[in-house]
Amino acid sequence: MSVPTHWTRWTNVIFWLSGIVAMAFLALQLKTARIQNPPITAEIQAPPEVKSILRHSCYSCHSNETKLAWFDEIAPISWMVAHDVQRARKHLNFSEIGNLPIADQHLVLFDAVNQIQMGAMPLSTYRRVHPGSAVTPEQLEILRAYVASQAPPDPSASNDLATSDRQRALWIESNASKRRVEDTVGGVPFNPDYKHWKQIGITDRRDNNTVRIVLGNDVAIKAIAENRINPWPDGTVIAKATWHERGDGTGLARAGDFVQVEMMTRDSRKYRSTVGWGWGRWLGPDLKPDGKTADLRNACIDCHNPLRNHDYIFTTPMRGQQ
Amino acid sequence: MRHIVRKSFMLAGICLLGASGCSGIHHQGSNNFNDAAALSGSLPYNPLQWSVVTSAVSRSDATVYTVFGNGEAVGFARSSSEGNYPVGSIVSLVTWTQRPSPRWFGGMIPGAIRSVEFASVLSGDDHRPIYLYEEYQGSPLKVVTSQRQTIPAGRLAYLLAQRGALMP
Repeated sequence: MSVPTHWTRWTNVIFWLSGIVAMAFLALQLKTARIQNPPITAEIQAPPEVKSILRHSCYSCHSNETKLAWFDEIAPISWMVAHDVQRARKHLNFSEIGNLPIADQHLVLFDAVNQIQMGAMPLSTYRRVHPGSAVTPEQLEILRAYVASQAPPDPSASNDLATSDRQRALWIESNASKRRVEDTVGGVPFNPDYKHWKQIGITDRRDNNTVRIVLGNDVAIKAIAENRINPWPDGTVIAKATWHERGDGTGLARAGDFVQVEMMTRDSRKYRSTVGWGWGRWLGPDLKPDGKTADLRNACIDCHNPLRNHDYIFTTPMRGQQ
Repeated sequence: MRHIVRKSFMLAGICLLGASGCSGIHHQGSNNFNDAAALSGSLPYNPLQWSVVTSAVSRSDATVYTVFGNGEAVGFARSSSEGNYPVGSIVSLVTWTQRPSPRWFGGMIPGAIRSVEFASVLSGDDHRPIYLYEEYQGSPLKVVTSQRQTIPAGRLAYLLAQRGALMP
């Protein structure tokens, strides 16, 4: 009995296609991404129970002790893994965290807990292929207690308004409000009217002893009144002004020296590549735009990403401004 | 004028309740808003419509306040270190209890209103300023103190000592 001619043809096609795919796959392996583990220079100093959780759920990406599963080293998966590890280490590296200033160490640790409790970390893709890597509620409580214990001391115990009074007096004398403020590198404009906008939130940040007032422009206030904030409409600008909390000698921590103002400007077309928001931060009384490259935008989006289902906004606005 | 504002404020409160009850159209959940911090009741003015003067936190009481001002008050508060608020100024100090932010570990956000205070600088009969202090507490907010003073003292003096936090 002879094999039909078209069977032979299909067998040939499959044979050659399989060969090509196999060759291509092998060729990819020549270009597989190799992840190096640089020296551990300043590892986090934390109690064993905390470190054990970090090692189990975070260290694969956020340390210089990356341990890969066999499938992580196969291209093209290895490329994605290498990209994730590189980005993760840049954001937070437990093997080098001790090299950061103390204030920055606090900031990244609080941010890490935030990312975990909002479900953004470990990454869902990582959790899928590494079962058991998710942080359990009990483990999260251990991390929260540890990180809370690292918060800076209560500023209201001191009497420390001199610096902020001086900064304010100098600013009034210099008539600095007439100065032109530059756009960010990404082209997001500063909006000087923010100081006249209405308060939609206020946060006492105990992780870094700052107080932050969140203000909305008229479009934002209208959107709040009309319950249209997910997504916020085009034209919305949300500003967040930040001051160091300074003790006034009476047990209060007051909005002291000015740190920065940040603005999220909604323009779904202009800022399409940055999730529809223009991200800007201006530092100090001189309002110097922060960031020399697009890194700031990425840092902003990374931090706000757990709130993507709330249009990337941390603030739950108060209502009643109209 | 005060009567109209009071009515508008109550109307705003009713609209707020209405809005929270029909939030399904745009899938806008009420957990998007901090309604715990809402001002409800009968106030002479709505300080949330005004600009911010400054703010402070009491960690021991777990409260936070924002000082708001009408146009006259804010203009003075931001440009002066000495002197007195001009006639026509109204300064309002709104105090909230604090609660942990559900969206930022380490952040405390406003919870329920503790009190709303007003210090008004009025023109007296002899063209010298006269001062009115009012305090509102409770839920809904009700007036608990209302007094006129010719020389500011106590909380009235405290409100009128507030200066604008730097907002460049």
